[in-house]
Amino acid sequence: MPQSNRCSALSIRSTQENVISNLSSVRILVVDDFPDWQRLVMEWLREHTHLQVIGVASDGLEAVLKAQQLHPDLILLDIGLPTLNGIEAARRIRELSPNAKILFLSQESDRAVSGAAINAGGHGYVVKSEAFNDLFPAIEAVMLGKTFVSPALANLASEFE
Amino acid sequence: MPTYFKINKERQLVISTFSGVFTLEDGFAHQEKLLKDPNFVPTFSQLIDCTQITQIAMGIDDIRRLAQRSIFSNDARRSILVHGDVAFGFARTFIAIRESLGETGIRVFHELDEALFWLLDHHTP
Repeated sequence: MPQSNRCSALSIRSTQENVISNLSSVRILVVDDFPDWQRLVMEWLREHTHLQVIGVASDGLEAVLKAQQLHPDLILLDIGLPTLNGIEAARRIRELSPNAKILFLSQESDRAVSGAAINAGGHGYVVKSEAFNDLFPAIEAVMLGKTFVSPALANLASEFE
Repeated sequence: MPTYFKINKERQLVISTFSGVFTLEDGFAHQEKLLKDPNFVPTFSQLIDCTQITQIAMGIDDIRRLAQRSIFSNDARRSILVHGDVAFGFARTFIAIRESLGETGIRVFHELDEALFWLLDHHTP
């Protein structure tokens, strides 16, 4: 890789809060029915060598099946999925693969939806429009056993409280 | 993919419009066309309208290559207008690289009025 490209690669990671470098390797299942979004997320994850995408699923039932088969450390889970929505998929995954952390990655910025997602067993919730800034801090928080909700969503919620 | 630009010298503004499938080659070709236009000035502002793009056929390595070179001044105001989270994500990635290379005035927006406000605000005394 040319020197200039290496600099830019580092700059992306630093912009995305390079705070998870102390974590050991994280095996990730990406679940989303939109191929372009899958591709973007995997491109971002690829910038971090210790984050390993071990599988991809495009619907809720496939997510449950792959979680059971692959035993990922972390599942990036959309909500609006065919066959089984992400919230119901999370409930099943929690029963079948209880050690997997679930981080919702959804376009929904409704607090009721994010609350339902966390109650269904999610460890974190990132709004897709904020994913560039929030995804990697969220992964770090969730892998350290904390709960993460996109600050934009938290701020939005506080405006209505 | 169809690409189009219009230069408004009075407003010191370049409006670039992309539609269809966007590739790295499209990005480079657009830069070359702009450079050859005698009305182009690097300090002009730019509205990059990506709302008609149906697919971004690029990876981050392509984004990185495209961002390595800019024909605009680092302090020129530029707005990228997008629809959808995928385009927004790619735009944020592009901006992060450009900012690491010293560009300071580039932002991404979902709404046209916000994008225009960013471009025109700094001209207001």
